Amino acid sequence: MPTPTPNRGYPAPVNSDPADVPQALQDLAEAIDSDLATIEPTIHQRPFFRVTASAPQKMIFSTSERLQFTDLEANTENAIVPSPVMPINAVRPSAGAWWLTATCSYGAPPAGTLDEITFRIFSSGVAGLLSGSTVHVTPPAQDGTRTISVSTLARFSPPDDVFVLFDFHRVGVDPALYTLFSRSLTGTKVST
Amino acid sequence: MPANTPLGITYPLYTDSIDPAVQIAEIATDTDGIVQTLVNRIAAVATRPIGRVGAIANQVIVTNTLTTLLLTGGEFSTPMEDPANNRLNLTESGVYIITAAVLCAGNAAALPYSMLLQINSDAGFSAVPAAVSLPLHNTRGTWVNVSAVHFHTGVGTDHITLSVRHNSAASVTVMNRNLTACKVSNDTGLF
Repeated sequence: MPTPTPNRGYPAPVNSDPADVPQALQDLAEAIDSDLATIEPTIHQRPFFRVTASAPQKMIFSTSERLQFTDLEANTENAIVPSPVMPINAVRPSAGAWWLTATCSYGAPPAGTLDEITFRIFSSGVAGLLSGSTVHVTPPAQDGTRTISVSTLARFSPPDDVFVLFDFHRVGVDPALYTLFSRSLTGTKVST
Repeated sequence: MPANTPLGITYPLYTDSIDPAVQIAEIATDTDGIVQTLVNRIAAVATRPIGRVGAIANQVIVTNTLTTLLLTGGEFSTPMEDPANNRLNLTESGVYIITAAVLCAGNAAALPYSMLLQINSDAGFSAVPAAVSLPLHNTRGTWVNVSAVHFHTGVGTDHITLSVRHNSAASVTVMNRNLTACKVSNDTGLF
């Protein structure tokens, strides 16, 4: 009776086995083949997702609003399940630890000035607020748009969602509506 | 005398005596060890060390003083987290992503003033792998964040902490803050 190898259990013949070399080799080959077939699916790309939007998003003064995304640019290895139906304002990553980056372009307000633009990334799970980024300078009209971004590591356990909040605070004349431009949320799984 | 493949699988030569059971068993055992090594590496890639420590209780930072941030909560409950000492401990050699963020309250001191946030390492190539400074505000809060790609040789434990310094005339209160790290690659080899 062949002895199984210590780790993978491949059949290793012993001298008391029947002298049937082809059968022993076939048994070993099939055992290795079967084992490799179970290992192969565990080797894959890291799950990765990217959602974006380019159409302007109107923000209401003094409210924290979620970024909205209209395009699913990538969703590899079931990074987000089920694959979302656009538009969305949250993404549900698969279980594990994720490196996340969110970006957003913004411009000058239609009137008055802003003294704070804060960009925060959240989990709907117990972690809650994950990270943030702030600027206190209003872009002048001639500047076109500027971009703010934030990156962090976070761990998710479904049904945790990840979403991004944009806040602005005005000085003087109230810019009742504020426009965001291109925006993105990107994540790749880095650990369990 | 048997020979070995480059990965170490033993096989008989034409001049060797015929002993099929032993020779096939050697191939089985050698292949077993190689495959198990690969399986272990695959598992290691999927389960990289990770940690996150943070705090939300206010911490008052006095003027012009480099101050270690208190990070008293471990959020992932992993061995990397050392909230009792306000830090993350990197023990495996390799490449890490580190990210940090702190929310600073506004204060009424005369502008301008800024907050420096730096990541500290006591066993890496640099004592300060990354730092950033941003202007703060009189009344509005400010998130300051910084990220780094960091390398640890694996010699000793690399203790990762956060420090801040500001030049406001008044003390600055920091609120939400966190420090996270994840190993993303080994320093050598193909995994």
